Amino acid sequence: MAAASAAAAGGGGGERSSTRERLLAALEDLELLARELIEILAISRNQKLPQPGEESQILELLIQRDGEFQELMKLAVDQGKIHHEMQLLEKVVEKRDNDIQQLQKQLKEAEHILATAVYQAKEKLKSIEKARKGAISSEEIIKYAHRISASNAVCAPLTWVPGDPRRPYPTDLEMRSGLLGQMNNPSTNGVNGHLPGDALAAGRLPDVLAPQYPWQSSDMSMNMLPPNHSNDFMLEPPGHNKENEDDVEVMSTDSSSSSSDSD
Amino acid sequence: MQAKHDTGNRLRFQLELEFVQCLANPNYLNFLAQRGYFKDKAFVNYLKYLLYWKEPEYAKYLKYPQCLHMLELLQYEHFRKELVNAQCAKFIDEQQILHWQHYSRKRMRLQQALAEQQQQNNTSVK
Repeated sequence: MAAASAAAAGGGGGERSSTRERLLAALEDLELLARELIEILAISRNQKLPQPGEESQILELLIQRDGEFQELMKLAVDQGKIHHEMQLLEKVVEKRDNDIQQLQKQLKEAEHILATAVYQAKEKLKSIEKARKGAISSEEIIKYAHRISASNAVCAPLTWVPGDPRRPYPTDLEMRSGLLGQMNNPSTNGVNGHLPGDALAAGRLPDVLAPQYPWQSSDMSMNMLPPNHSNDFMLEPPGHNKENEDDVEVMSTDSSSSSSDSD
Repeated sequence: MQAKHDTGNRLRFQLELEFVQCLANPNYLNFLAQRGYFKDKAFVNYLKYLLYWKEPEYAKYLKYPQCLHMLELLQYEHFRKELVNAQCAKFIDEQQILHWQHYSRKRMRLQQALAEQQQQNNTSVK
């Protein structure tokens, strides 16, 4: 009796539990009910039944429980099918995930390669631009090369031996007989008025003065004026070194770096 | 007035051309260092101003383009300080002369090698 009521209560309170638990509960109930039925039948064989309706009650409960059990079994079968499908779908999802990751890797690689290529192309363009800016006609370069080599300015004469006074730079003699040297000696007759005898004897004229462009041609030097007009180099040009900040008080508006009479 | 200005500028061009090329002479640099020119702020500024000779339009007038290298080195205070020593100037002088002779020596070696080769060919032909 007590067992029967417990079984009824167990069957009703199964909403939150999983199917497996419900199935197991139903099985237990069936077992309990079957046992009770057998007990009662065994007792009634020996003595008269005190409550005649009890067997039918238990039988009904048994049938009810069995019905529930069958339903739960069907439910379990459906759930099993759904679970199986879920597993298949999960596999498919996994496969797609892998594909996406693979594509991602390839995309990254491609991006990297392209970025490198673009960067190198930009560098190339920069160097092309740079080369174009500095373009000089080959004839001019050859002329210049000839000029500096023929006068032995950058390449020693083939007959040079230690003791030869020629040097890869303007020597004392040359410096004194140039324009710069003559400026300090106002007593000499004009430029190149007095040449020390040795220089003449050595057959060399001071070449520094006519560096290589005739000073007489006026149109040329008009365009070639030295940049800074300011003759006072005590004045700091604007934007000079930080270490000379204390010289600011001497700064005047004269020290512009653009030539004021270049045309 | 304009003409006088132009002649003045032409003269300045010539003078600066000469002066910048004189900087190729290490003995002259030693001379300048020993007389304290490199300590003069105005002179150092002038050296910086002379850097315009590096531009191709100006550089083409230089007979001794190596002066530009010296000019670049002179921008550094350490170099200017070192030039007070005569040994420093001597070292630079020696190196410059050796470098100057480099190409002619190379040519001589090539000529010698060629002459030797020809001699060998002649002896083998015989």
